[in-house]
Amino acid sequence: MCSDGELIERTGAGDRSAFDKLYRRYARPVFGLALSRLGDRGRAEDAVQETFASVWRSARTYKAERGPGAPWLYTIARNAIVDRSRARTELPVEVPDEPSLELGPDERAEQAWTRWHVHGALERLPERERELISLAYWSELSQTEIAAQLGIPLGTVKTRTRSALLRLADILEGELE
Amino acid sequence: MNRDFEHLVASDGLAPEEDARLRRVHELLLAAGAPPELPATLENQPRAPSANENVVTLPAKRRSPVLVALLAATIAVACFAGGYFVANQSRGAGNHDVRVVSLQGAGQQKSLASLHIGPADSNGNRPIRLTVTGLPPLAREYASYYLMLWQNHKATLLCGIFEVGADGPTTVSFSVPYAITNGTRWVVTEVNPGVRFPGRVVMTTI
Repeated sequence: MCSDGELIERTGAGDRSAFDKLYRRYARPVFGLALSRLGDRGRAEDAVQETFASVWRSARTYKAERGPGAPWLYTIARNAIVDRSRARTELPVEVPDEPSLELGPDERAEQAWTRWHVHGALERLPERERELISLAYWSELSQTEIAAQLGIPLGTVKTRTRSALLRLADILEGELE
Repeated sequence: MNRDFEHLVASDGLAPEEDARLRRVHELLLAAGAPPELPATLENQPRAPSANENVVTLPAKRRSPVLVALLAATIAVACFAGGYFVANQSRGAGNHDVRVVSLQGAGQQKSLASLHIGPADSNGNRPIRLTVTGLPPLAREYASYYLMLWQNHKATLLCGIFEVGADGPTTVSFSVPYAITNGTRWVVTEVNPGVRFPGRVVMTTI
């Protein structure tokens, strides 16, 4: 499996299939990041399009020796999203009397990076493992129900989840190298 | 639902450092939450222009008809001149699913199903693959299950007809020409001879 950096370098050399793979891998993370920042699906869709337009234009400037590809893509996505948010007309807001319980800028940034990192890694899992992770972590199904849906024994659900987590760990740690 | 590590993962026999790695990924998954569904407008990747060409942003579906027409004309000219991004272009995406939807039995029905929806081809036809378990085989002749779109609180458009066996999950593949969005929902109905179409709803989208 190609690393993000390899795909960006190949995109920079004009390789369309590499660009397609990058899109498959990162369209959902970019959309998720944009949606959380902009809070508007239409603007988020625009930000995704602008992000990948920028990726195509800028890929040749990527230097692998400066770092892995995921942070480079994250920066491009964040810039596209910031551009979109600037175009937004802000309504005046009332100053609350009590401190907000919402996350501060640092926590939000960390949470956004975590989502980006994890969702990008998920897209690199085989379809079977990605579906299993989705069912195990984010559906309302019990382990027994998941086993019934996939037509496999309960023990196999757990061992496959373990395999998927191991693969995710490899992907996530590999990107940090 | 129990989302404890021990409940979800077979961790027997793991070395301590391996166990720690998996727990960290487990915590990251919980912290990240579910990735969002891609909207239909972004399901198909844009075609990359050649290296020497500029890139224009795709028109979004929510823009006004006049603006859409202008943008469409602009894009048509741009494509003729050398190719820009083309919205919603169907690409050879192989069997890559663009959406997976879960269904469960209605009422006391204990059935479960997953619906894998593929990208539309150039004619707008989409492959969908249904895997279902727990539905009882229908004994009556000409009785069948119907997979249908659910719109405005009723089953409207037929996606396909299938039957199930007594053992194990059943997987069937259909092709549908419908536009599918994040809000699209499906149901499975049971249709028996003499019963008014579309029959009784036995499974609904989760």
